Amino acid sequence: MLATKTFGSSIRLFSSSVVVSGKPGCSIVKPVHHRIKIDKNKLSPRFPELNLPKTDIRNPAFRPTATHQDRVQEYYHNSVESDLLLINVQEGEFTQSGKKRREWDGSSPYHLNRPLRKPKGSDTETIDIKPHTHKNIPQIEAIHINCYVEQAKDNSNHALTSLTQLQQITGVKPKPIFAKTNVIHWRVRAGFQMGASATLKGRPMHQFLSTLTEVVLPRIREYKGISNKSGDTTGNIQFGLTPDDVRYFPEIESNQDLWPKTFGMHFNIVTSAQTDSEARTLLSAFGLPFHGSEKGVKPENIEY
Amino acid sequence: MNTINSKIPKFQSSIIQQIRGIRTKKSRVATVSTGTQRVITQLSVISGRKKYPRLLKLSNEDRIRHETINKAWSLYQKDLRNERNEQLELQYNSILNALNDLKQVDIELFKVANKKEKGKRFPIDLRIPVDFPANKVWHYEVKSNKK
Repeated sequence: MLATKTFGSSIRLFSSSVVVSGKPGCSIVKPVHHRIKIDKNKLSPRFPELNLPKTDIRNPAFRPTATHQDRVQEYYHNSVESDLLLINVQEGEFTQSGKKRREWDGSSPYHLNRPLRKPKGSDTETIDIKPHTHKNIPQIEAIHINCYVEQAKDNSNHALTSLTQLQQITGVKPKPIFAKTNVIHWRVRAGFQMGASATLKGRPMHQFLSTLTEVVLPRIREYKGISNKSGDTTGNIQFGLTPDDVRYFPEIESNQDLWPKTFGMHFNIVTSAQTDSEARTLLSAFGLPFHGSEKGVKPENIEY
Repeated sequence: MNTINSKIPKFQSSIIQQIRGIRTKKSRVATVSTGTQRVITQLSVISGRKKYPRLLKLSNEDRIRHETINKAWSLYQKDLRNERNEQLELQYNSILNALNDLKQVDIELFKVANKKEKGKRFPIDLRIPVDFPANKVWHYEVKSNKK
């Protein structure tokens, strides 16, 4: 009762700085108070087409997708999928639990509310390995391309060129990447545009993959392949291309005058495989070569 | 080029062609350097204007036709998907059956068959099928220089 008396007479303020700035403290578009986040642009009656799903042809953002045959996808379904099932399936498999964070033993009163202990023999948790069935056959899910341009710190045009280069190669809209922090001895400031990145999925990904394995990689001199040591243990494989390798992309090679400078890039191939070894088996079906020694495989058993 | 030009009638060059949105005359401002022009071209390539194609104007009938075709296509894809999944399930069951049979017949053979195939690779000369494959798909006689 005391509390209501003291606060009841005064007007409730949301924040003091908002009052100073002369703006209303809360949204003025109805509904004003709600627990669920509402995109209020969609409440406007002005452009009803924008509220339709993007797959609807009336939406201005509609883009036709299945415009041509996707031969990489067909190849995967017709040839690779069943082979991978045969390679991966084992009798008597059970879920192998990964390394997880551990409880404290409670020997000290300070263990109360303390964050859980690190997993044994590892800084981070690892995933559970589930039995291989017909429902979790590995497939390529996405290709992330990251193009960090060091020279962009002196000349921001290089960042722009790398963005265009990535768009030309992949056919999707890349996003610029920015320096996150100040690194004094690199002379990089936070907020500098330092290159471009793109995420490929579906048809553009398949198109890019076939260009890479059929046109670009075979023409690189002395190309050994992706290292068998590459991978992040959860079934994603990483590799890179140098600026000279990028010149073999047909979009750039056919227009060499426009590209006095090309930029190298890093690739991260995201697969639904549970381990790197399975991911490599999957990628080898698409013509990506591998080289070097693989962990857990005897040198005489390595296949190329 | 000369042969093509000679075939074009001369009177065509005198026709004034109207090109919307494109500057046909050279501007009086000093021309930019090739490097700058390259950056300008790149900017125009990645500009937001190029993001979406122009909106199609469809009549109601057109829209219904489009939606019917789309629906049929997605149903067809769904059928294919179901068929594929059924086939894979059958294959999975038969793999397990075969392994179980082998276990009862010969435990040593079963162990070899049930081994984890780490480092397994598809053959490097495997190709993603194309409509018009090359006459010679793989040059088998080429050997690496290093020994």
